Amino acid sequence: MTIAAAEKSPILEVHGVVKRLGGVDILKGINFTVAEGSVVAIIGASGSGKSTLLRCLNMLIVPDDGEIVWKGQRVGWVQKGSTWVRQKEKELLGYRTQVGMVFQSFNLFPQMTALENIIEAPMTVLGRKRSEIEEEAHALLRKVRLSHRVKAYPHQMSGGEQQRVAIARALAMKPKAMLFDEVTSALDPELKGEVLTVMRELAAEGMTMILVSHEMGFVRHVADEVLFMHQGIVKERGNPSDVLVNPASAELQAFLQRVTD
Amino acid sequence: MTWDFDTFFTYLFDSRMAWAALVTFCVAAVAQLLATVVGFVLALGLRSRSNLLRAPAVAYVWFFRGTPPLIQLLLIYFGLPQLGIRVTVLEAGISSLSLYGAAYMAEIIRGALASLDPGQEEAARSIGLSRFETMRSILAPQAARLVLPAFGNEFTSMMRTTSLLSVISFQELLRVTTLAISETFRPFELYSVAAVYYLLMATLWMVVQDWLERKFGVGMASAPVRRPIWSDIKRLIRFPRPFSRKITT
Repeated sequence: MTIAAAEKSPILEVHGVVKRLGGVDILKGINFTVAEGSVVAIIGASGSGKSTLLRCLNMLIVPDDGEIVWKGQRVGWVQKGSTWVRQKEKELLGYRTQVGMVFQSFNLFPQMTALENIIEAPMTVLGRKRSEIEEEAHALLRKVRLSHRVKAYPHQMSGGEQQRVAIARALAMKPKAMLFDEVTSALDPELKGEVLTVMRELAAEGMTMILVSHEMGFVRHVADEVLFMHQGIVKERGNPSDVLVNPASAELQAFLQRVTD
Repeated sequence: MTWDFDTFFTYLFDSRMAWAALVTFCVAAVAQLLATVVGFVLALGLRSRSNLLRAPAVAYVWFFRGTPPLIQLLLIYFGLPQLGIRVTVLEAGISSLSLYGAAYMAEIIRGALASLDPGQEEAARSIGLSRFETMRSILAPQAARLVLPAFGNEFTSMMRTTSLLSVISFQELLRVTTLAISETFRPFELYSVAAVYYLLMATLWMVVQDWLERKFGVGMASAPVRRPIWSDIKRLIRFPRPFSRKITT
């Protein structure tokens, strides 16, 4: 983490998050903080709980225990008198719009064009006028270099194009942080670059980013901090140039061996 | 006594028959519409994690799919008055057909919703859409495309099932036909007229379904946009013109 980032107060704090799914402990107490404007990369073998953790951060999956604190406020719980009460799904929506998410399988809405995908949430959730949001949507498509694909349907676009529309769709809600769940894993090698470039530019603009990735080169150059997850806990953490070069644990050594081969 | 074209055509263009066909079509359409709305609510119940919501939906489907529609109709028309609830022929007809159809629509809609990619719901919620908005804007339109072929089956079946209403003396197509037969004693011609009207209704629906499938098929890679079905029909009835083209060897 850069010194400038570390000095800022954390935008997101994760304290002892536990999640059990189908009788299996997926997350066994996760702790970390994310400074505003920093990039945190989560790496680890499949099944180590990375995706579940990411979904806990925006409450797509509600953790069984532990706290997620966003800008000093506990997420998913409200204090009523002296007791804490779980928030309902409806009350979580406001938080979700502040944390954008991009998925491995893009998940664009197939019945909508690129533009319609982007303006759907601002229109439905924020109740904004189509004419006014369309201009912003065009700007977002320019940003992800897809000005020429405004009217294309998802099935007419390449994977890389779809993923960049998905990024624009998340950005349309003007999030304060972005979650990326293995966003290049489903892409052919020659298409990964265009998505990673967009992400690199976002990081440079100061967007707070939490990403699950197997792109070690990208992680090393862009991330401020790396978390290595193994069997539901954070096994190792630190500066990528440190952790990725001199792994302390045998598990991380073995993992790095596998992904770089 | 042989087949009499005169009787056939007289009744084919008889206003009473045409009117009865129109009434039948409207009753089927209204019943199918209500069945779809009730079926959608039932499908949500069937998908619910809460037993309290799922159990009534399961019981409903179990009863209305497991008993003959004729018995359901008789229960409503002759049974309810016994409990002090009076229903007209039209009320009994439409409600029994919709209740019956809803059980089937529930299963069809449940199946369509279950086959959607769970990533769609995740993505919709991640950008802040509520559960209701997710269903309305994202899931329902995608499910609609999947439901349509089975919906078409249900609707054509519904148009034929309306003939049951003749039992409670509702003036639908079959009842009017039967009355006409008692005037003319020409069952073959008149039942043929009725069959033609049922076919006409089914044909009308085929055209509408084709249009709907293309409308809801937008963006669905699995369902490429097809040519309208009438272009195939036109191609079929275009006769070959043997002298219009030079044959070269």
